[in-house]
Amino acid sequence: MHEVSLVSEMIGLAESEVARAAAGGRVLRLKISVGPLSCASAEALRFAFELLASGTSVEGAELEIDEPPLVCHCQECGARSEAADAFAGCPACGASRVSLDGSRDVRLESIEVED
Amino acid sequence: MEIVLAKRILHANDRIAQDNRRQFEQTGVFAVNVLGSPGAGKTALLEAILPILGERCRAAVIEGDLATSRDAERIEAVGVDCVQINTDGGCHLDAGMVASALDSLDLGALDVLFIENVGNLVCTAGFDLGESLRIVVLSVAEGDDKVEKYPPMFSGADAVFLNKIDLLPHTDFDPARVRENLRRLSPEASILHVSARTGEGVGACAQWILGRRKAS
Repeated sequence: MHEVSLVSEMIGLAESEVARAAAGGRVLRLKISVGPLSCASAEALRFAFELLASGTSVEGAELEIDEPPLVCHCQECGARSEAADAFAGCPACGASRVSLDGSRDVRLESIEVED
Repeated sequence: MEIVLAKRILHANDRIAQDNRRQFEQTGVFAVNVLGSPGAGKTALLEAILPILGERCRAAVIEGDLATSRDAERIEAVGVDCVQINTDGGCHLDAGMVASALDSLDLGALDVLFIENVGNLVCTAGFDLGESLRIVVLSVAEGDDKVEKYPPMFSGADAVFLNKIDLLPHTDFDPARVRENLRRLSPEASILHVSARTGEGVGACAQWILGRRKAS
C-alpha cells in the first residue's frame, strides 16, 4: 500500500548516491531487493517507479527486483536458514525463537551508471 | 560503473526514528506504538487505560488518522493531552510525522507517550517511529486467523491486547488459535485479554505497560 512512498524514497536515495559518486552518465539500472515480510509488492513498486522516475535522473533506468526467500536467524543455535514461512521456526534446531528482521527490508542494493 | 549501496530504502525514516528514540531516552519518556485494524478498539482501550495510568504516571497521546480529530477529542475528554496527526490518506505514521508532533508536547513533563497508529494491519508494521514498545490491539470481532494472515504485523509485536473478549460467548473465535500462532511467530510476545467496554482486564493491561516501562 505504501509502495509510492517507498519508491519516492528510493529515487531520492539513488539520486543523491549518483551525485555523490560524481557519476555523470545515464543511470542504467537500479537493483533492489524486496523482503518477503516487507509488505511491499514488486508489481506495485514497478508501477510506482514508472510514474515517479519521470523527470528525475533515474528516468529510463531498468528496475531490477530481487525477491529473496524468508531467512530466519535462530536466537538459540545461531543458524541462518531459509524458512518455509514465518511460523516454521528454525529448520536446523526447531526452536521458535528466531529473528526474521532482514526479511522486512526493501533495500536498494546497487545502481549501475553508464561509464 | 556499479555503485553498491545495500541500504534500507527506509533509512531516512530509520534515522528520524533514531532521533526520536534518543529524545525519548534523554527525557525519560517510554514511547508505545499502538497498532491494529480500524475498529479493533485502540482508542477505546486508551480511554480505559489512561485514567488508571494517570494515578501512577504522566501520560500523553499522539493520534494518527487519515482525517478528523475525533480520536484526539475522545482522549482529551478523559483529561489527557493529545496531538492529532492527519495523514491525509497516508496509510501509516512515519517517524517524521511523529517528530513534528513532538514539537507540540512537553516531553520533560511526561513518563509515557502512546502513539496510536493509523488503523491498518499491513503498512504500519514497516515504519519504526522510535518507540520502545509495540502493542497490537486485535479484537474478537476480527476473527482468530489474523496472526496467520498478517505475520509482519504480529511478528514485531511485544504484546497483543485481545480486545472485546465480552463477545467471546457469542462467536466461534478460538483464543487458543491466536495464542498458538503467536507463540510460533513471536514467542516472547505477551497476550492479554481485555474488554474496553466492560473494563475486564484493563487494569492488567495498564500494569503490564508499567511493568515494561520499569524494566526498560
